[in-house]
Amino acid sequence: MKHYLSFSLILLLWLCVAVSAAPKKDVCAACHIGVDAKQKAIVEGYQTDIHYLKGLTCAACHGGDLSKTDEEAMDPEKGFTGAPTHQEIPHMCGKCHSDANFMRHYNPALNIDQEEKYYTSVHGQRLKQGDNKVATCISCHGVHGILPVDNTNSPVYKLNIPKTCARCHSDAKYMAGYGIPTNQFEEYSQSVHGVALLEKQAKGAPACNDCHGNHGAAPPGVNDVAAVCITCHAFNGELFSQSPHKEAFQAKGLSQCAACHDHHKVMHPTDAFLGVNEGGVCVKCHAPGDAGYVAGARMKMILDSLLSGQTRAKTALGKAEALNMDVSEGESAVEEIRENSIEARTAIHAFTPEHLNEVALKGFTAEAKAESLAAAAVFEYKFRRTGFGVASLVITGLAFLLWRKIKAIERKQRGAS
Amino acid sequence: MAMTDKRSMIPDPPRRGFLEWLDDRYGVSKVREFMRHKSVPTHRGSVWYYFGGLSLFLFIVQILSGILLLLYYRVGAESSYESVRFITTKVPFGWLIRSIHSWGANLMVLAAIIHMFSVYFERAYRKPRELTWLTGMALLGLAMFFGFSGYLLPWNKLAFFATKVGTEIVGVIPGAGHFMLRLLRGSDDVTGATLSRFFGLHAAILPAVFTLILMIHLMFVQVQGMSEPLGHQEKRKPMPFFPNFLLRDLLLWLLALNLLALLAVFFPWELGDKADPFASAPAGIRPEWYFLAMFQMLKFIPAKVLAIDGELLGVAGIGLGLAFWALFPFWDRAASRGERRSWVTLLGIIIVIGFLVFTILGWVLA
Amino acid sequence: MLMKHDDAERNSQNVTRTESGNPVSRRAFLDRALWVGGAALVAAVVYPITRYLVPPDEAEPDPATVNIGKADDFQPNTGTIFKMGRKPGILIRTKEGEFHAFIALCTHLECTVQYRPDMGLIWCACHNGRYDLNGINVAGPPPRPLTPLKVNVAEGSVFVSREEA
Repeated sequence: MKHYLSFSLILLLWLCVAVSAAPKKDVCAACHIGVDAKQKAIVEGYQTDIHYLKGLTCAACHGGDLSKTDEEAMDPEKGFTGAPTHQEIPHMCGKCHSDANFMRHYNPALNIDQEEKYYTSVHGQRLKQGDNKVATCISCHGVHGILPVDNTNSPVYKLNIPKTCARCHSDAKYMAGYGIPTNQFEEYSQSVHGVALLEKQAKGAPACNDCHGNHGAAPPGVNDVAAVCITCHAFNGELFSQSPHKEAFQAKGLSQCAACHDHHKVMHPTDAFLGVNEGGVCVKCHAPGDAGYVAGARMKMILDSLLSGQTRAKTALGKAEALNMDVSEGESAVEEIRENSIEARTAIHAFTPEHLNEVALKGFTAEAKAESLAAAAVFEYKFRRTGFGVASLVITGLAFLLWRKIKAIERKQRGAS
Repeated sequence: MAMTDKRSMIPDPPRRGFLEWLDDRYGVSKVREFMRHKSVPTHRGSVWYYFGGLSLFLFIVQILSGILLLLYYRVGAESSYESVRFITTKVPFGWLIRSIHSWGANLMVLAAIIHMFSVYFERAYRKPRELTWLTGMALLGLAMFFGFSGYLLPWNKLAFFATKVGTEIVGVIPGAGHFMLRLLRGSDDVTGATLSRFFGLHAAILPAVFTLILMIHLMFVQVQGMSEPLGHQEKRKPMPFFPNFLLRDLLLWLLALNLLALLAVFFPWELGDKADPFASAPAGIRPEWYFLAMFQMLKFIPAKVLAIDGELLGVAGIGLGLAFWALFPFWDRAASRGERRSWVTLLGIIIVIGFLVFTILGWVLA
Repeated sequence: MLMKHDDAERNSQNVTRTESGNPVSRRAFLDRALWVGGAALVAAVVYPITRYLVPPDEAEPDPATVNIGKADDFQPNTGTIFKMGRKPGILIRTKEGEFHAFIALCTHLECTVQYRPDMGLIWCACHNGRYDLNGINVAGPPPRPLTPLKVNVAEGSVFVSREEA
């Protein structure tokens, strides 16, 4: 009898130790991994989750009693909430992520305003109104396998963001009834920014969130788009705000940048964009003969002559190079023209031909320099040939004279013998 | 006070010039007598006599243009190419000096080769001129070494790879091969160390050795005079060296100068791109034309011939061939007896044709 | 040497009288023409060589050091663009009077940067990239700092040279 008691005590003790020593994480996972395929996937996915790696268990979000090992752990009295509804999700995440003291233990530098911002967004507003189709935290960040933003596999990694947004916003069926277009991703992918980000992997290019905001995602107001553009395209923005277009656009309710350049489908503007001819945007507002029309035409002429100057300089230098002359200095001058044409295209945004002319002066000077260098190279080429001609003349002349002298000497020698 | 000799107080008569002043001290008149009597035999093959002098003239052109280039050339993996580029583009007439130097090298080797073959066919190597032939062969070898070392100095892509291939061959010699390769390259690979070494060779060592052997070669010629062809019966009057032959020599040298200028202006020597040891070899690497025949012959030998490494066989074969050629005066004893053997002429023709054929093949197949 | 032969020729002159024309003046003309031709040849050879020996203005290919100018010519809180070999460079003089120099190519897309005295920063007009006065990229798209150059002030002149690797 005594043995049974002590044996049971020892067994109980062992069980308690075993249970308390076992990692708390396994309590939920140990069961759920065998429930069905879906649950198994969740448990396995969670192994890579940043929250798991920081030591947060299932109960950290879902609540429950970790001292129990079976369904008793899922005790609502002990805080178990189960799978949250769509409506509950932002708060479930915000429970921790909006708590500064809590977050300080894990990542003091991380923002704590996501939930607050979310409810200012279109998604948040509509969620409050009962729309369960809109995005919540888990729609973008994933769930049970959330990765940090700088992890390349995260759906909210910079390069992955457009595709993540497009999951809903490009799905015409899903978006039916909202009355907004579903071609944004398509347009964006064709744009300069889209190509830069998606194809060239340039992290400096803007993704959806750079213009629309992250958690407070909303379409920027007509005037706000420009504010976004000029964070990178500062010079263009500065010039524009000093130009006659600023007030005119504001009065007409036109977006500063997007009115000409579009917002999603921002293409690389060709030089045809400028001016009053085929493809020119100026005629969208300006009638033939008005001040703007004339200014547009003039600016186009200036730009055109700058670019044709570049071509002329290149051709001239090419000719010199074909003659085997050195043209490296001329090539630097052509490079100056190229840089100046970039500056000129920016300078256009002042919409003042005089200003453009001033800026383009540098390019015109460089063109003149390149062409004079090419001319000098061709001159050098001719000089060498002329020089050779002269030297050759001297040498052959002298050779001839020498020949005559030899003959004269030999004649004398024959005569004397 | 010693009595001064009244005779020494008489000043030299005005008619006695500088030459006489020298003669009193150094016996210069003996030299002038020698020069007065120096003559060149006149016969059908006399025209070949000019090629030795032509080689000499071209060597002098190389020395002068080389010294001028030395004033701007800066040896170093980071400066050689740039300095040559600087010379050909920024220095006034730098393009001319550089092209003359590059073309001159080729013309000099060509002149030397023609000189060698003409001496061969005329059997001028026979007794008593065996050492003249030997020193001449040494000079030709040195000239080709000049060309090989100079080729690398602009440190451009073609030169880099051509040097890599050329120096690689040294390594196949059993035993000392690797040591010799390192000695040549200054390192295991072709690097800035090779550049330094080749520059030292090209600008200092080779000029000194070449000049020394050249002096010996020329001295032999002065002491022994020009060789006359075998069986030379009809004795036309020999041509005095001064002024006749010399003026004719000068005439030829003038024409050679004109040719050099023409080549420099109409066919300027390319510089190409800077050497990049990490880039792959460009198409069309080939050594200079005078190495092409050897290069092509080595390429034709299969990788293994009866378990002997093909390249080794090739190098050994070429080495033996060169030794045979250099010692030729000792094989053709009949010539010293005045007999013209037809096998010598035949062999010469085969070698000339073979050299031409392999050179052309080497050029076309590169 | 030729003069010696002239003596011989003059002697032989007395023997041959049958030559047409005035033999003495013909020979003299030929000799004079030869001297003139010889002089022309010497000139044609010496001229390029003398021109070659005079160093060109840009005395060095891709110079490692450039003399920008007098230190006093550069006001504090200014930036000046100069040429460093084939690349543009920028020389900054800070408010405190210190000199900094960099290769003026933006590390984003190689536009030429400029100094903005109002910002106290180096700025790139193309996409608003910014660098501090040590060349470190602090804002905008540039991924790397500017390539720094060494500055030495000697005898009142500012010398900029490439940094040794």
